[in-house]
Order: sequence, then structure tokens, then C-alpha cells
Amino acid sequence: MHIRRRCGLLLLLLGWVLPLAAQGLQPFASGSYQAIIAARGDQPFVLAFWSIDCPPCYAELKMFAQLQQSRPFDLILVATDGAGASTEVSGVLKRFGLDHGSTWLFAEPAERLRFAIDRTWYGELPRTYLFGAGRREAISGALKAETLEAWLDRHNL
Amino acid sequence: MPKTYSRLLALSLLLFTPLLSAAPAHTGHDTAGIKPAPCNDPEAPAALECALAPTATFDTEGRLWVVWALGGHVYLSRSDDQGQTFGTPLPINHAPERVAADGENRPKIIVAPQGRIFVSWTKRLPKPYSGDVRFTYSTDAGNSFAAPVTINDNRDLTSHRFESLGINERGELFLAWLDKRDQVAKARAGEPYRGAALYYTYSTDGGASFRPNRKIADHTCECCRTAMAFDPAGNPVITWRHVYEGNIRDHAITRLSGFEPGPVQRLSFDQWQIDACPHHGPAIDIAADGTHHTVWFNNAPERHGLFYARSVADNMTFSEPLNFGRYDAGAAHPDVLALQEQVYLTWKEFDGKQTSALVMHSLNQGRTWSTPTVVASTEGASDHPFLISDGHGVYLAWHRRGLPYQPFLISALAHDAH
Repeated sequence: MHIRRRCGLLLLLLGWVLPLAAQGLQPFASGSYQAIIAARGDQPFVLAFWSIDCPPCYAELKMFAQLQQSRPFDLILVATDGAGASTEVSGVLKRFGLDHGSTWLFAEPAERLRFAIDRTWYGELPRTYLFGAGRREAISGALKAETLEAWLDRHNL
Repeated sequence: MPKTYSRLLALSLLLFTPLLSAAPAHTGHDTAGIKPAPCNDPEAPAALECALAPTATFDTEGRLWVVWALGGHVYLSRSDDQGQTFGTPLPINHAPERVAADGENRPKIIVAPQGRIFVSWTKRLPKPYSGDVRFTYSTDAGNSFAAPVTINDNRDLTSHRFESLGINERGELFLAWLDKRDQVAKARAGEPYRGAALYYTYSTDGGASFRPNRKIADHTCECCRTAMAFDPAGNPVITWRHVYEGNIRDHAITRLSGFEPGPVQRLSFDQWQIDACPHHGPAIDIAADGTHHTVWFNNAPERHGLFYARSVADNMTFSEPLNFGRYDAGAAHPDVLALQEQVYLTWKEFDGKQTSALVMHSLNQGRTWSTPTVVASTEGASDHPFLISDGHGVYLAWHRRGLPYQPFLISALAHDAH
């Protein structure tokens, strides 16, 4: 319990530091996926793909926003809408209070970006990857809070 | 898709020999040396090469018509030389509105005889994933259009989108779309509602008026295109991604009986259980002999990729699906076109460097198939691929953003109609 609280504090601190480095919505291009992974080393993180045109994505964003309040974790949000949707994407992120973290927007043809991430992902949304302990777990469809909490537990977050 | 008239024309032709070749009949596919337009010039809003989701069709005289959306307008342009050159784009709607223009949800067009043109699109509303189905028509070959009307007679700020537009030989016009009015009503009562619903309406006066909306099915998937074709009796046949019990997103199909809803039956049994938006809808075409040809995508652990099935017997029983395209190359967004015994399929693949549109064909109603052929490729952004016909040949209509829009001839008839 104490360990978790201390990690939580650390993440709270990280959550304060990371946004300073973030520059709003960043263009997600070839190499962005690798860069995101490399920047985190062995630290567990959640990489979530979503779109403004995806009703279940909103359920997942809401869940992320709520859970971030009680158990902050490293969350990277990537909207697969094209560059033309940046205003709308920013607006939605802001509405959920998720605009201060690491947020991205697809800046190249979707099939090219998906190919580099996961060839079995055909663009269905939301698509979430849980990275931790050298493993990547892929989930299609709105992630349930209990699933994410169990994952956070497993990684002592 | 607006294939009906092209197909009707083709029915008068007796003998065809497809000449599917790796090299299309014009040089437009070869992008070497062609620099894509930057597509960021706000002074050139009507540029077809910069359109996100153009839709093309041929009229009965073999002229190519294209609609696309840019800057709040739906534009129409005609080509009399199979897309080598286009006329000046004409804005169809005078008052600008936010027009949906993406792979799954694009303006649609039908060009019927006597200069009658029908166009539909989805108007995006201020709330995410909300919209209204819009419609207009021309009786003077596109020189002027009626003021656009909203087709959905429910005006909740919710989703009325992903419309299909079709017309039969009698000139009866049908629209079917995904509609969340029932979800809204349930939500007001504090009750859950799975997905959206399929609604339709029709016009028997050339689009001047439409009947009250009617529901065909509850619990459709929300963000995949719908598809419509007509059986030989002129009944619309509609297919869409459905949400079956347990969040299983397989496909359903229905045939209207004249103007009345018909039974809804399941088309695919891939068991893709997922609380997600695939953004990946089916396609259908119906041959003159009544054979239904359908294609779809699913991504279930056991059964995934692209599938083709043809109707057998009563046209509502389907063959064991054929799995086609390379799953590990992202085979996606299939379309199908039938010309008598011939059937064509197209889809997209990505090989790590290029996106390609592939085609394969059958000469025996979809019983056996050619090997797939790459017709065109791009390293840039591209739209979904579609198949259209002018009655003389079958074309791949595939837009690669920034490049000139020109359909690729993928077959030719050995004997002309004359």
C-alpha cells in the first residue's frame, strides 16, 4: 500500500513534469511509435488510439479521465483522425481534461502508421496497448476500468 | 453504390471478354514523376485531386460524373473522356455546410436517364458523430439543383449518417441510413440501447418528396457504411454491419418487398465480438440473373480478413464465404461489381511502403477467381477503392490524394454494342 502510494506520488510528480515537455497535439508520424516506446524504457505505460468519430472511444476517454484522478498513470493518447481534425480532437481532449498529457494526431496515411505498430490492427477503435514488464497487450474495444486497474495492480502502479 | 444504371446498360450487351491486365489502359497509374499536389491551397477549394472522398459513376452515355466535398460544398464535375479531363466543378449546395467526406461516409451520386441526377451526403452537426442525411436532385443534367433537404424526419442532435442511395428501373428512389433516434429515446428514459438502427425512406416522384422514415432493424453498428443494390424485380437489398447479442459485429442483409420492410437475416458468421468501431463496412452488387455478390471485412480471432459470398438458391442463402486478400498486408475496404457472369472484386493492401488497389475477377458468377492483380499504388494517402462500369468496361475508381483523379480501366468488352 505504501509502495503504491509512493509510486503514485512519483507519477503525480511525473504528471506535473511531463506536460511541461508536451507541446499540445503532436503529429504522429513514421517513427513516433518507436520514439514513444524508447522514451519510456521499462516504465509501464498505456498507449491508446481513438477517434472523434467513435462512440465507444468516448467511454474509454471518460474512464481514463476518471482513473487518472485516483491513480495517475502514463497515458499516451493518439487520435487517428487526419490533421484536418486537430481543432475537434483538441476540443474533445480538453473536455475530458486529458489535454495536458502526451497527445498525438495521425499525420500520415493510417495504413502506414498501423503497419509499423501492429499488422493485426485494422483500424478498429478504440485500440489500446498496455506496455509493461517487457510485454505489449493489445485490446480492441472500450477498455473496462477493472481491466486497467488490474493491470495497474500487476505493475504496482 | 450507384452501379445500377451502368449495369442496366451492360445488360444489353451480349458478349464480353475481360482483358484484365497488369498494365491499365492509360498511364495515370504510373505516378513516377508526378508530384502530388500539396492540397493545402485554400484558394483552390474545388480541386478534385485534393478531395478526400470522391464518388464516381458513369451515365448511360458513358460520361463520367464525380461528386466530392471540400470547404462546405459538394461539387459535381463531368468528364467526357473517362476522366482524362474534367469540366469546371459546380457547387451543388449554395449555402455551405459541413459535409462528411471520409472513406466510410462520402457524398453519393446517381445519374439516371433524361438528365436526372440525385446526390446525397451527410451533414455533420456540432456534436461528435452526429449528422443529418441530405439530398438534392437535378432535372437538367446538373446545371441546377434543388435546395438540399434533410431526409431523416427525426431532428435529434444525434447520428443520422452512412446513407446508401439507390434507384431501380422504375425510377423509385431509396435511401437507407444508420439512425440513433431510438438510442436517444432510450437514453432519455434512462435505458441502454445497443448501437444504432437502420431506417429508410423512398420517393416515387423523382426525389421531389419522400415518405415518412421507417425502421428496418434495431441494433446496427454505428460507424460503418451501408450498401444497397437492386434485385431483378427492383427490390432494394441492403447490407450493413450489425451488433448481435453479446456485441458480435457481424453483417446483416435484408430485401425490401416493394416499399415494405422485409425480414432481416444474418449474412456473416465470423463472430467478431468487440465493443469498438471497425469503420469498415460491406458492399453488395446484384447481377442481372439475380445472383447477389457481397463482400465484407471482419477481424475475429478465428475468422478475419476480407470475405466474399454469393447467393445461391433463393438469393437470400449464401455460399460459404471466400477469404481473399492478404491479411498480413492489411487487406481492407473491399468493393464488388457484377456484370452478368463476370464479377470483379477490389480492395486495398499496404506492403510497408506502398498502398495498392488490387483487383481479381471471376468469369463464372463468383465460383472461381483469377489471381489478384495490383492495378495502382501510392506512397501517399488514398481513399477506399470502388468499381464502376460504363457498360463497355469495368473501372477501378480509386483516389490517391494529390494525384489526378482518373478511373483505371480493368476490363474491356471484345464486342461493342453496336
